[in-house]
Amino acid sequence: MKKIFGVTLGILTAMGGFVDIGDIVANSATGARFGMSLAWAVILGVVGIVVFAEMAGRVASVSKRAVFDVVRERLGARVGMVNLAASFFITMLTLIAEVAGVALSVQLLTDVNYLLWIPLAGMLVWLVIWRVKFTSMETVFGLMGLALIAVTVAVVQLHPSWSGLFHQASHPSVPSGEGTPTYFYYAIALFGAAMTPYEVFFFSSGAVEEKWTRADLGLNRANVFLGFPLGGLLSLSLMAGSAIVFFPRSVGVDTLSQAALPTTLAIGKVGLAAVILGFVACTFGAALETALSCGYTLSQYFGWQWGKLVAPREAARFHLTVLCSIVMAVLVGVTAIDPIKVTEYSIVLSAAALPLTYFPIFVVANDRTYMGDDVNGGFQNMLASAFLILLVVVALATIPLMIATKAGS
Amino acid sequence: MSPSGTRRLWAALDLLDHQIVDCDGRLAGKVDDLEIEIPEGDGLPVVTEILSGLGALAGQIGGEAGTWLTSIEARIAQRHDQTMGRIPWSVVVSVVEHVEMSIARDELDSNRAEAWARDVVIDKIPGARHEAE
Repeated sequence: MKKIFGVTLGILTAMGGFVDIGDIVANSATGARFGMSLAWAVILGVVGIVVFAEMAGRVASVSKRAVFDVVRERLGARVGMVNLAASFFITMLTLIAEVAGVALSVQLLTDVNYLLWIPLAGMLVWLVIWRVKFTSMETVFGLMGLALIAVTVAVVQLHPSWSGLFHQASHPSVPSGEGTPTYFYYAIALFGAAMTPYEVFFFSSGAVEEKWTRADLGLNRANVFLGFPLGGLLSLSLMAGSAIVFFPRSVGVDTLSQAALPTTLAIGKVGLAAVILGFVACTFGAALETALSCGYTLSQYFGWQWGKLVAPREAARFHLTVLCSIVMAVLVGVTAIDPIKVTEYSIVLSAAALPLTYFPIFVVANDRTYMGDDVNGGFQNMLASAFLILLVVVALATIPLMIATKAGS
Repeated sequence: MSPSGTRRLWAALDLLDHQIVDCDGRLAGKVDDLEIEIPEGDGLPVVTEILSGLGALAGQIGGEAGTWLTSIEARIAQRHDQTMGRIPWSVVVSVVEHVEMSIARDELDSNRAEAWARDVVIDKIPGARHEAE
């Protein structure tokens, strides 16, 4: 039993971290506008997050250091502070998007305006972090998130032309009526959504909290190789659903209810119920992860006691940070700022900040004084180096593309 | 920290920015700066104190952000009659994975903010004393 639930950290990370409001929005919207021609960006993102999450988990298991401990030790106080400011800002932005995402998902279910759900969603997120044990948290939300499999089932039920979808994916081209910069802007959005930094903040801190050691390196790999590709499959299913239903009709997707429509068309009310449950679980899971990550990054940089293994009063500044972050997310959320826009900005800015997170992990994963014999292998280093170059290119291209395409409009 | 060739490098790599852990296994800040004494004559420089907390960190960061942090620190210090967290080398037990010390974090000046957050906010919320279920 313990073994079965052992991989739930990976599943929660995949459900709440990989598939979150950012992926739901980005994949549904790109499927509608570009068919499957941007599937490669998702696959690239999955490979990237697998490579670096495995590294982060291994560093956490062997050296007992979570990502921001490593950032502070390797980059020092100054550069680490710049990194902290950028990472905290982006994670905060993502938290706003996720809390609003929970509210939007509940709105689908109840027809009550999402603005009314935002304070309740924030309250519940805080309560779960305050009272619920880490392992119960990841099991419940990870397994609930599996309801999203309905999206994959729906794609099959829609009886698409598989060769057509596959052709779109394997022969990527910019659809007529879309500019090349816009195409690449959305590629970056998908890539950023897949590799959002909080995923590794959460995953590595979770590994330290669960007291992983060298003996858990197999578990680490199982989590990573199972969780993230599963998240990738669900993301691609969302994209395919949109590509089948909306793309041929040139209908854009800019609401969450549209993202659920392909599944409803294919399997009716049961499908809609499953998709809404999945959306709620994924966005709620991601809200937990981002709120915790706000606390993790700040606490690990300053060396404060953090985590859910100790009573909250023993980690007072950590819990205060989490509480303030959630309050802030709720306050920004209820200003009726467009949650879908916040989501888009959060994933695109994440893409711009990717090297800040993944470079220090790479350095420490190669350092024998931390890792002993569990340093990166040659193949891992080759793959990781290629990705680091790509991350820098993406980071440099993001802001100019954002301006040139007026954020993809 | 006084610069002094290779020993400085060693101290910077193995101590600076590392996690401090107290006698109860609680995390108690980072090594933000070091106080080093250079003995008269030919002796090697010796680390005498670990400096921890916002004041020490501000010195490391420097520039505008550093000045800003220093001013925050000064305000807190005025209110609480606080000095920079100084940890004498004599209480350091080991520096292998983390810097472990033989005293509790509550004895450090740099832990006052933690105590403030605990006493003023967190303890007032029901359930603060219990581990999660």
